[in-house]
Amino acid sequence: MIITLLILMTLLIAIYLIAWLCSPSLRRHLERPNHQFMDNCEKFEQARQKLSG
Amino acid sequence: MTNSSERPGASQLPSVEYGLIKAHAIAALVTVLISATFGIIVSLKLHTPDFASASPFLTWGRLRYNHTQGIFFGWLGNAFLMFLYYAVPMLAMRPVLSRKLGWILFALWNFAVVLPGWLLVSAGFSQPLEWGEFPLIVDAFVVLAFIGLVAQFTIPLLKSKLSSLYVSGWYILGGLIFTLFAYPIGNVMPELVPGAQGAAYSGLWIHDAIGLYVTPLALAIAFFVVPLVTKKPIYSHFLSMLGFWLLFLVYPLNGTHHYVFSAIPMDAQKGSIIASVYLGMDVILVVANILLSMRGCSKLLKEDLSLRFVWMGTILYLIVSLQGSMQALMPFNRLVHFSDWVIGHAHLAMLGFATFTAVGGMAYVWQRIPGARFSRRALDHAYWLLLIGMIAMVSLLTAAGLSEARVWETALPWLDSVRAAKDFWMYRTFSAILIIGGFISLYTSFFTGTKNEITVSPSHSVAEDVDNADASKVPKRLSMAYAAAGIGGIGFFLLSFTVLAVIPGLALQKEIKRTKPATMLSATEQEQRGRIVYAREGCAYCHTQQIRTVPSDVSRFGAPTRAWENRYDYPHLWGTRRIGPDLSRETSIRSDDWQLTHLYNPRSIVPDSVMPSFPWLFDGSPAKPKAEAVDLLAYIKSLGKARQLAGNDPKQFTLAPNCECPDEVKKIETTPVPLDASGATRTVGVPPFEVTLPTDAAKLADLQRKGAIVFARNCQGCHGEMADGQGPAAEGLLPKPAGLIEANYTTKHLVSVLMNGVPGTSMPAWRDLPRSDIEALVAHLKILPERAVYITSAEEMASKEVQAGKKIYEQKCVSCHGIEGDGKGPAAAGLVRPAANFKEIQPEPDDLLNVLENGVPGTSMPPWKDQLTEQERDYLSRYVQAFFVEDKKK
Repeated sequence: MIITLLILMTLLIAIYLIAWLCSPSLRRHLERPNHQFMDNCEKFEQARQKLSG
Repeated sequence: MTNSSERPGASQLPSVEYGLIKAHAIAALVTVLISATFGIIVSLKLHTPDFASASPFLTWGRLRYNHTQGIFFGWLGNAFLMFLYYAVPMLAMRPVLSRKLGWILFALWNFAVVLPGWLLVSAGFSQPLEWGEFPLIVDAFVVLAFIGLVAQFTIPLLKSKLSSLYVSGWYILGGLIFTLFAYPIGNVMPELVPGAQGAAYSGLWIHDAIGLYVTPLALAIAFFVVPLVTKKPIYSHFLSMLGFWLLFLVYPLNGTHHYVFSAIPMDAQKGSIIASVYLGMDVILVVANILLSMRGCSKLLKEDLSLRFVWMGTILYLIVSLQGSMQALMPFNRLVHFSDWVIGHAHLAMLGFATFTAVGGMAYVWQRIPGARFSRRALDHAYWLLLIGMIAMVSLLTAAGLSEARVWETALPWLDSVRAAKDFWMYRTFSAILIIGGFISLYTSFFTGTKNEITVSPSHSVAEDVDNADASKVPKRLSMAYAAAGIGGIGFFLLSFTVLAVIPGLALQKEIKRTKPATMLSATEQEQRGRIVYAREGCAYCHTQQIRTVPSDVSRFGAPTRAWENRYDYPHLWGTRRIGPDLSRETSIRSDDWQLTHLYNPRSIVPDSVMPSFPWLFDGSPAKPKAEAVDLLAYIKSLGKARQLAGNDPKQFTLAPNCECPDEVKKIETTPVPLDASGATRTVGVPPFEVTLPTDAAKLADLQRKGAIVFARNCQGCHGEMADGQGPAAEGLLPKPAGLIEANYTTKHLVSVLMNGVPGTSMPAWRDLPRSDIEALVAHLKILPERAVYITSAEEMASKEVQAGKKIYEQKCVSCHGIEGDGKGPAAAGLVRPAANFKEIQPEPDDLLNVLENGVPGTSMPPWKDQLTEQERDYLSRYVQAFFVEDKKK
């Protein structure tokens, strides 16, 4: 049963990956992180530069 | 640490606990130097086993425990925590829960886990479980620390919106929360469920330690450092999350691949193998995403050392993961499992992937600590020293593993695999020196060089206190998205727990019920005490107690280990590596004296052995064992006893009726095989072949030269360099080893003794020596200094002295030695050590007279000095010599 589940999951992931590779719209949809990681880190960096300056 | 923060004019920026970052960095650097020193001594002892061998605190087993636990908790634990104190505030935009808690956790981690763990293991308190060697009392503090770490780091992260959580945050959440679950299960369950069932839980933790703790936190570093240094977002957010979820699904399902071909149900084994292959595919996805994020940054790799370390760590992650997937596959696993190949794999994971990524994270953070010194040059040296040392070490261990595996596939003696690996081990020690040099350079890079120009310590402010107060509140409710993710994650963990431990455990219970003998005695108190000594000295790290269903195991050690054989073992001692042979059938292979002498000084009895000596278990001599040595002997002698008593009933095969096992496993399980296949087990019988020595003088001389080498390698420990029975091991053996220069032997007798051993003595059989070695040994023994004999002619045979001796012989000796002198007297059958067959052995006069006067201590041969006069003993000795029928020499 586990093996069947793994195979099904593989297929599902493969379909997702193929769609991700082939469909720009789906790709845009999937690549829509709302995290502010880079911006937040930039703020820290700027703050550090002000301090060191 | 009470001045301003790192967010002038930006009150939304949380504080970063630089004091804790520095403290964990220093702890990481100190503990890695100590742990690596443990490692180099462990490596040194493999090829120079007598180095620092007198102290129990420095014995191989205890140092090996401390080496791996030191790397796991001391080095990587502190390095990861250093990174977390820097990264979590940026990922969550909130400070960590509490600075005070941070210092408590620092103290807990280093002074309640690492330091006492080392001291307790050194003092002999440990747990013989891979990656769980610190004793249970320390485990309690580990769990306590993880509860604190979860609170410290996950609460700020959980307060963020799910959609705003970057992938590094996900890895941190997953790593900390699931290690909190996995650690107690892996460390406590094997103490509660025995043998094979316990091994199933143990396998879970062995892999979870890497998969749920090291890997997620290392990947958190990679996903953190790469975009910040390259100043570009990661290649794909979607792939990063897909990789995360796949990792947490398949990593825990890998555990049982450490016990392929074992008694654990085949379905669990197959499931773990498939998961291992799946993991390889997931890692390709993760690594591709990280490397694609670095595209076009080759110049940065040269300039920024933190990025270079992370880049190398990522590449090594790919290599080690694909290697892991490959070695889980049955055809490959059958060959390399238990060998140094696996040790190479472990070093590639911990020293390669984890260390390089951790150093990358540390270097990135350290350069941003106000006032910290940093030497780029020293870090560059560290990079190259660590890289060259690591590649050399892994290559040497891999080559050693392949050499061992090659020998194990043949019928060559076990010791040949040790000999094959010895040179690799020696060069490995040199590679370890480079690695230590790398860590020293790393240490230097953090404490020399230019000072960071940030002069104000950005640690704490009033505004941050507000943040901290805010963060200290545990979120009242988690968003639906977090709840769903949490349930998914816990579901994955429970899936692995159920599939690899609970279901196989239930199947094993049924299997044990079906196959166990009607009665099986549990271990005696003495055996249990001996088991504790065996566990604390790390014996299980060189000697397995599981014969796998693979041809090389079965032909070398005997019938495969059944699940019921270990059903009283708490925790199991199956082991995951073999430097010495498997001990599952040890119960009757060796004599007590042999075992004790071997424990006291292994090289006295097996000159090429690399086993540690345990002199602290004795009172200055192998003949004076302390209580612990006697207990250990009792335990060793109990290994396989239950199976021996139960017999080798072919109905006891462990295959479940519906098991879909590979054909090779089915064949082994359904074919009757000897219970004990050890070539050393003493037996009685006609040797399987005869030896005819070459008549050509040159060929004979060649053979004798070869025989001298074989003798030096295998025999002189007991029989002595001069073959006079005065070898270094003789002190602890009773009866004493034969003085081979004190008698003539027929070729047939020599072959028989070499192939069968001598029951009732410590002389083992040498059936695992190649036939060519046996022939060479026989040739060598034939040219040992010529012995004096009396009987040289028919006239002398008819002399009155010999005839008088005949009368005495018929009165005193016939009952054991037989009327024909062939050792087949009516009382001979009851003797443990067979009576001497004088047709095949012709002792020299002095030896005979000595034996007649004093008897042979440790055998049934009594002294005759009170019953026979000196003259009668002289007559008797002359007659006894006359029996000899072959190889009479002047």
